[in-house]
Amino acid sequence: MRRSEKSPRPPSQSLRSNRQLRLFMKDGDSSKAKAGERCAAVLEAIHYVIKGEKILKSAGLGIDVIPVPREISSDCGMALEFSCQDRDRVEHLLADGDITVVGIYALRKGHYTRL
Amino acid sequence: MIYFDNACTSFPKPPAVVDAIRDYSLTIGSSPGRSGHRLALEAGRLIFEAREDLCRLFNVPRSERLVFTSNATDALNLAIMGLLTDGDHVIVPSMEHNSVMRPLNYLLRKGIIQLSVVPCSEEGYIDLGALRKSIRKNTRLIAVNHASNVVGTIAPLEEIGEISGEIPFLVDAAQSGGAVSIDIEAMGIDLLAFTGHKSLYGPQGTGGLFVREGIDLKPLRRGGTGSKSESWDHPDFLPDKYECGTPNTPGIVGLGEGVRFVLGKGVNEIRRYEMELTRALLEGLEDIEEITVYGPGNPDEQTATVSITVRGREASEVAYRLDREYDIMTRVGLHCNPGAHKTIGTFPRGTVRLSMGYFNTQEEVGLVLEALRKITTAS
Repeated sequence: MRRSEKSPRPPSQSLRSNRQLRLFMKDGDSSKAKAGERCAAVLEAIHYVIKGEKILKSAGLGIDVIPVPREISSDCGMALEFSCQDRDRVEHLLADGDITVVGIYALRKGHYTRL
Repeated sequence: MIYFDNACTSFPKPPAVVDAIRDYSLTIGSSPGRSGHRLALEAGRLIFEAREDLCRLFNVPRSERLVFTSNATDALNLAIMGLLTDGDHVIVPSMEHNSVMRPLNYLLRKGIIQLSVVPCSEEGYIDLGALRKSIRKNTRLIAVNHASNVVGTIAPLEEIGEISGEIPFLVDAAQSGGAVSIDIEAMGIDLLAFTGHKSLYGPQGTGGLFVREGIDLKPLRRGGTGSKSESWDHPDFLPDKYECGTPNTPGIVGLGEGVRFVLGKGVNEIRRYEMELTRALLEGLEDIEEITVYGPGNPDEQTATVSITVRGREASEVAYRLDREYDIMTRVGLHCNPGAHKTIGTFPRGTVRLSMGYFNTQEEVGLVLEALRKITTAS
């Protein structure tokens, strides 16, 4: 089936959980990424976001595509969201796919911090 | 109605192409890569998939190197005007379309480039020896039409790719993309310009350009891309560098589906079928004494495009009668290609072009031949 024959996807689960994370996360002072922490990779263009999404999903990583949070960039694009524990793998897989990572951010205390 | 004008634009389109455009328009409709909502993302995915499938068809390893344009002319302008600078030398065969010749002639008249036009035979075959000899120290581009839009002659791209060596090799695949196998690696193609609405079965207003890594084209337009929005500097990465402004998303969605139609049938199967039609048409035309056929006259060496003239009759009269009396659509005249008509000896009167596609049938070939027989024998 072609994508065009499908109706748009339902709201993404992790978009909602992302908001919950913002509300309930209290800690996050340590410089090292903690278990359960969510990270976001900002890429150059939507082409790379979709390419990266395909690569990471086919590698079995639980990821999501989210709008680039306002506090990271004034840009209007999308970012890849993943568990910070997977950061090394994500970076390797994206590099193998010739995808330039503009920045990786961790969600701490409800705010994104550049790693 | 018999449609024998597929070299102009293919008709009809596969129903899946129309369905895809309709579904996009009714259920998604958004602009890709701008807003952050799901519909925008879904539009982005559709464009991504269309790009990936085109790369599958042409064997492009990295899909960001293939950028969408509004047609082949747009892609050729980006390649030519984006690449050439003062003092560059360009080589073209004598069969090139106005979409290549007009931008080149503009640069030539401005005194920016030097131009060598390599002769072709009456059948449209390029003189490869002359091509090789035309290469100079400052040759910056060799531009070749893969398949002639007038007589269908297929250029030997692998050999030309070999001859071109380090010189950027631009291929105009307007008439061949989807109908004849294209492999940018095997053929050494550095710039491949294609259109969406012919043998890729997409809608009009779509096309694209493959740009090999290491070739830096100056963008002809700058503007909004949805990326790097904080800056007034235009992005330097592909595909955004050459794609600005809202894209023709419904068109690209339709093109993607057209490409999947081609991939599903297989280029070799489409080619085999169109060669059978061409063989039948050529054989039938040979039996009509008053008709002269131009080009290779051999289905192995041409696309399903055949140009003819009828002794004692103007091409325009033949095409008009085919249309009005027999409901057969063809194209008459110079086909935006005075160079090709000068080469084959039909300038300035032109030819009647009979161009077939995957949706034509042997029965239709028979009916066209019958109509031509009647027109040629009528007083």
